[in-house]
Amino acid sequence: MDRSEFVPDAVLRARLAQLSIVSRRSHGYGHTGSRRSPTSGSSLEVVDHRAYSSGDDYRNIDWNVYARTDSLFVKVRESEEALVVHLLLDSSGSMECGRPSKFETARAVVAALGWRVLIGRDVLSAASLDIGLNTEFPAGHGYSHIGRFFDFVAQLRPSGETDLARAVAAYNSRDLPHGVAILVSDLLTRSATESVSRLANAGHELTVLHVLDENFVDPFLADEVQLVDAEGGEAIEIFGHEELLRAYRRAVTRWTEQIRSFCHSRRVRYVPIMSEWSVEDIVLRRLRQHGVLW
Amino acid sequence: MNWGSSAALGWAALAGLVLAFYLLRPRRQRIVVASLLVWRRTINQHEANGWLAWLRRRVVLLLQLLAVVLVALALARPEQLGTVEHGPPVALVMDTSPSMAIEADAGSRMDKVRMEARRLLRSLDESARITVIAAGPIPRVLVANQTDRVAIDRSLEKLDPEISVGQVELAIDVARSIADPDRGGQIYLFTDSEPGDPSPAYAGVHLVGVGSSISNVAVEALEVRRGLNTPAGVQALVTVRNDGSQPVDVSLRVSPGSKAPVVRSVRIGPGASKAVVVEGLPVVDRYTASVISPSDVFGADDDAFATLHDELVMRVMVVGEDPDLIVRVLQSFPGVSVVASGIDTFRKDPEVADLYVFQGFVPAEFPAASVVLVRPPDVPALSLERNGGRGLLAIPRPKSPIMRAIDARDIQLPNNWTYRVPGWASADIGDANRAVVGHGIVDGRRTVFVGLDLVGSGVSQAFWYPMFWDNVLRWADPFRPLPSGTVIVSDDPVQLVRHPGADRLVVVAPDGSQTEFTDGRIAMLYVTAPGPYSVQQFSQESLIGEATIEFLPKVRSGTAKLSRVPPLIEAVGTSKTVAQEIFDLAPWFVGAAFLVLVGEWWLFNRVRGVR
Repeated sequence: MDRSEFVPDAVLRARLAQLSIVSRRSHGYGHTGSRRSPTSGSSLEVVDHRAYSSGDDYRNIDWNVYARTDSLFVKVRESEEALVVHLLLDSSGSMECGRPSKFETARAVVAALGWRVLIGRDVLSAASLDIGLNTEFPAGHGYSHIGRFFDFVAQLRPSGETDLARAVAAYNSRDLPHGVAILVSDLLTRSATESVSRLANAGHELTVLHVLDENFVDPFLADEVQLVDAEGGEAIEIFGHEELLRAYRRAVTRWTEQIRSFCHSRRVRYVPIMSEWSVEDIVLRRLRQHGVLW
Repeated sequence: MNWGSSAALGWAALAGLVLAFYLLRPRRQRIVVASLLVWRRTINQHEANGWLAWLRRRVVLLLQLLAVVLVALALARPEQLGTVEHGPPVALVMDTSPSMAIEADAGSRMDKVRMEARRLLRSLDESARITVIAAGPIPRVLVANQTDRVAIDRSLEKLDPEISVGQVELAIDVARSIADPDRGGQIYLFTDSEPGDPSPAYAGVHLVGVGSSISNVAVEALEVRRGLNTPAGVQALVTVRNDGSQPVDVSLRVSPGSKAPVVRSVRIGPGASKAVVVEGLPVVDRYTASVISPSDVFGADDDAFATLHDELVMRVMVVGEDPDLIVRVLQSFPGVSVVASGIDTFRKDPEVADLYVFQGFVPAEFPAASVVLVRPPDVPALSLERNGGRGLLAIPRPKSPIMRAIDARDIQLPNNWTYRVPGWASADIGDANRAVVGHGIVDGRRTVFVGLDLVGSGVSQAFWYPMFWDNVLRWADPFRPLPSGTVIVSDDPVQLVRHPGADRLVVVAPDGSQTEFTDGRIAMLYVTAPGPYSVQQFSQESLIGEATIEFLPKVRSGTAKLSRVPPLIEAVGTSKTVAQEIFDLAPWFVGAAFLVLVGEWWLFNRVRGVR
């Protein structure tokens, strides 16, 4: 696999470096990172003073205050923590559809987001999901993991059926620290909402990138066609008259609305993206509009 | 519904070909989609009604099959017997005499009759079928049975006064054949000359007069003929009319071609006509009569023209064992040329005649002319059957043309035969069932049967004898037009009345074929195909008259299974008439098939191009 197909180019990297994954709350991951923590810590930033008490580190006494007030006060410093970002990519057979395929677009987005996580001091954990937990990128942080992460991404192939709920359950069983989770999937499985629930229940701040393609949303069909399911191989015959296609388009709209409503009810960000959109458009514009990156 | 060509329904078998093409069409396309999740939901909701879905899937095929069936039905010539409502027939006879050009007030008399005609049209029912006849020297039908008021108005606009006096009575006769007042029609005559002593030809005609009396002198008529005593010379009869209110002295000038004119001075009283006979004129082709008066205000009617042609002679052939008595009396009538023939001679070489008198004998096939049957045997072809007995002479029939001016009680003959009155005949002496004398029209042929012993001893001396034959000749005259109302159907021979000046008749059949009559007096047309026949009359290669005769089918062969031919028009009330017509439904089926095909094409493209 040619990495140039998904590795963000220099322009995208330059702009992406100025953004960071947004987390609305602290997840209490002890590893020192670049994010403020509600607990006091050892960073250079002084956020408050308090009266000295026995046992306090005398290195924290603010001698300037003592000179003016003749009382001992210690500096209270800000704590900094790392954010764990979970990137979960649907690699089932249905992701192969579309032009470009949903998988290609989703993989490029995941690569860009992973790169952004690793150049910061946040921790990245990634996995591909299909009927179960397919392959996994073990949690790590720092530049040194970028190459390995791209290798992980490069070896992913869409195939097989989908059981997102089962795959998510398997991922949760790894007992990784919770953080920001980004699920990139077409959600074409009966267990889509269940998988979202499981991820949200695991304590993650969850964002669902719902990947769709034009042929799925607004298909063009001749009079009589046999539709074959990309995953299961099942087939049905339809007569592609306009009334049926209108009904289908209405059903697609209704289905995406149901998923959006479900996500909102679980405080999950829902970002619909089309496979035809460019990675730059998705990452730099759509994800910023939805508050995933800032 | 009837089928003109039910065998054509076999074309419906083409539907099988359409079905075969449908079954052999390329198989359906296979498309891989991400998931059937949403498709299943859609189909479950959308195609809950199975048969409707089945129908929708095959609507294009069904429309194609329907189109094939409709075309097959159209080819089978479907027909429906129905009724249509017609308005009353109204004929407008427009006098186009030269006097109609007289200007008075704000326009000519022609303008005024045009205005009156339009006013009348506005008052008539919209459904009235209007016929406009220009009563010129040769009456012309401008529009016939027309309901389109624009076309009628256009025909009125075409009217112009002509240079010769119009044949108003002939025009009325034509109008009567179209809108007979006795059968619910109406005839309006628009003229500036009210007939002083209306003849029967004007009966039932509404007169719409225009114009007022002016000081005018006119040549009313000019007729020329060979002199009775000096056949080498020519006799001219000129009728001069004074329309004014004062007596006038006029100078009448009769010119035989370019030779020296003969001048007469005539005094005519107010509103009177005077006939002037000028004899001894040289024989030329063309004669002119002119009237000159200082008080004359209108010059267009001051001249008249006439050409000399010998009088028509009715050729009569008397065939029988003892024809002399009949021949002798017929020879006494002017304009009649009589030939006698024995039965055997007639059978071998029958001569052409205009009227045949068969005495005690009936040929196997009647000639194409009028016939008078004197004491005939039973004639099954005419449903003529002897009844025997006598005693019917005292029962004259009112208005009998054969017994005109004769009292049946004066006819006392010992050996009369009586006949059952056939359906085609009216009794002249007798009652509704039995008759000694009767007449009628059979197959367009005037026919008289006479049971009187007209060759008996002393009969020819009876005072009624020449009157009787005069009546017979008058009625059976083949040159008279058939009376209005005579039913003419195809397969009946029709005798065409020749214009006195015509030397050639050309009949153009509906299929374009032409029949020409140049010799003989009687033009007998045998019509085998219904439709409009155009009859053109020529005089020295110039067209002098044209008419169209519409023949209705006797039975629509092979189409409507009707027990009888419906009457063309049956009167309903006095205003509208209902006619039975056979409607050809094939165009409707073709139209429906076309619409179905358009719909099928649209659906097919809509489905294929659907997004």
